[in-house]
Amino acid sequence: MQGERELIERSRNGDAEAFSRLVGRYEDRIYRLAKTVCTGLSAEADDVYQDTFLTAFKKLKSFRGDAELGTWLYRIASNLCLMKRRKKGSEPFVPLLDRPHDHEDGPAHQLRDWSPTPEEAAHKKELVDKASGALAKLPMDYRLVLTLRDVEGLSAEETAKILKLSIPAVKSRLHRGRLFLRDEFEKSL
Amino acid sequence: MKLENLSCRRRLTLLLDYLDRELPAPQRKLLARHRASCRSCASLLKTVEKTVRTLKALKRASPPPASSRRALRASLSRASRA
Repeated sequence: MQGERELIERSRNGDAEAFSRLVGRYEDRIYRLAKTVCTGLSAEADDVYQDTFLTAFKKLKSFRGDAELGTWLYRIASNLCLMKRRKKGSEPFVPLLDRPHDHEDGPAHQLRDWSPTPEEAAHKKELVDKASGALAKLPMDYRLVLTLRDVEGLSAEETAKILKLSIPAVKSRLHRGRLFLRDEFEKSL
Repeated sequence: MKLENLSCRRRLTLLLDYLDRELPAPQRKLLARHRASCRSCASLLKTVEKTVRTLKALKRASPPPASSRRALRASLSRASRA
């Protein structure tokens, strides 16, 4: 496999074929992020996917290489998602997220099992719909953190760098978002 | 350190770090012991673990359609000639 640095250098000199190979390495991840964060709106997700790589191609000369290329692409895609949200202007209102931390759940959460059944696990689409439907109820700031951490599997530190947040802010959004989703999954029983 | 003496916020932060395997070994052992004896924290951890597992299903979402891939390549080709 050709080295990423070499492909980046060739792309910087306008080699579209080299850049296309870099796109091939990252496009599934970027599309997935766009689709998850733009909550299933195919047209918006597609715009973010296309614009991420076009922006990256144009700005590749300013990519210093002190971050991973994947991190840089995630950052561009996240910013494009946030710009789309600003243009739209509306966000889900989730009063639960303003509640102080409260984890004295009692036994109720122990008794109700909404985790994916083997049938659900076998039906990819239903499970994806269930997760993305719940995620859509959260504000985008939370969707971004949950997607980068729990779907893409990045660390809190990487997520903080991509979103230009502090690590405690990432953890706070992550935890509140997870608790909200847990309640949503329970409601869907 | 006694978990019972910590504020709710501090305890939650520790539990989250435990879940995400971001705690040093001694604290991790302490939390594992606490989990075994505290029904409330065990319930919280179990349900949040299930939430994360469900979210991971999104990793299996469909890749970009072939038409989008082609459109991107065409746009990139135009951008490289501009």
